[in-house]
Amino acid sequence: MSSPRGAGPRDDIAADAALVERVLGGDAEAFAPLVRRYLQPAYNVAYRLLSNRQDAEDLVQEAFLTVLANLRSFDRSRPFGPWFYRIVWTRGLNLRKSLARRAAEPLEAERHPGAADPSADAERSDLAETVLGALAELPERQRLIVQLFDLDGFSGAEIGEMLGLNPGTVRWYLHQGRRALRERLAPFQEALDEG
Amino acid sequence: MRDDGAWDRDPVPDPVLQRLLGRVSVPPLGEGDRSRLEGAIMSAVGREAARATAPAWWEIAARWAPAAAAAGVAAVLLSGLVLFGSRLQASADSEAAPETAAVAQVIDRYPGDAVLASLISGGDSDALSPWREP
Repeated sequence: MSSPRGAGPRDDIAADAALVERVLGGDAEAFAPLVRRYLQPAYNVAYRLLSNRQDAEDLVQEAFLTVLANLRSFDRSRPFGPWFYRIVWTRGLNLRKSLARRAAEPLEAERHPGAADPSADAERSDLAETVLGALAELPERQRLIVQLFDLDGFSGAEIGEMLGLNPGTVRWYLHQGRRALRERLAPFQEALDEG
Repeated sequence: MRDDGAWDRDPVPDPVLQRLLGRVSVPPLGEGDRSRLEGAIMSAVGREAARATAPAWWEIAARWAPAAAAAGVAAVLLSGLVLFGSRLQASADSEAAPETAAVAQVIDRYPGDAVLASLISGGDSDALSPWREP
């Protein structure tokens, strides 16, 4: 994933700017490294927002095409990632509206491939359900921020740019969300430490 | 699980929370899905690029603009000439008309005068025709 925890280093910015330059010059193939680099984090954002794989894939594809159409407006002295994630985010909100999805929809409880089946073990199943329940109880903004930060590795600044919040506000929501989750999940800490 | 409270920098990731959340979170993309999606995006990008490089109608129009301008000027000149010519003809006709009317009046006045008619019609004015009493 590109630039987990913080804006990309300077050479990332320069490399992305060079690719953007080439694309603007008519070299469509130069778009491929940008797609490779930002596909996964963009998909993470889309999935957190839409909670559906197919919708998330559609959103990511649409966002890349939007980027291509608006590449001239990108400020090449700034990192590409946050600009792109902001596009994913805003288009995702629009898509969600058009799909008439609710933020309070039950979270899609899928598992890591290769991970133990939660239903195979009552305690683990309990844990999975409790985690899902605790997440669903969080206000949407807190839930998204916790997932983007703790699971997907985005920095507070990146999340702030995406959501249109300043990083301090993002950290505040993160703190609130984490605290609520810790309270709900404290009984499972021992089990986790053992397992 | 640790507390965090400093707002000027990001808190450190919480490994326990990460493990708990990781149990119910969808791993975003597998390798196969990733390359399939990447391929779909690049195909769409290729189509967009092809569409962007195909000449638009205004580009084609711009290419033909000098020839079209020359043809336009020629057409204007030609229609001007035709218009001018037809006006000239019309004024010539209008000038000729009174004369024709006057001649008709004279001929009507002397209906049997073959010499007069011959003179006026302009044909064979020198040819002799037999004299007939009116």
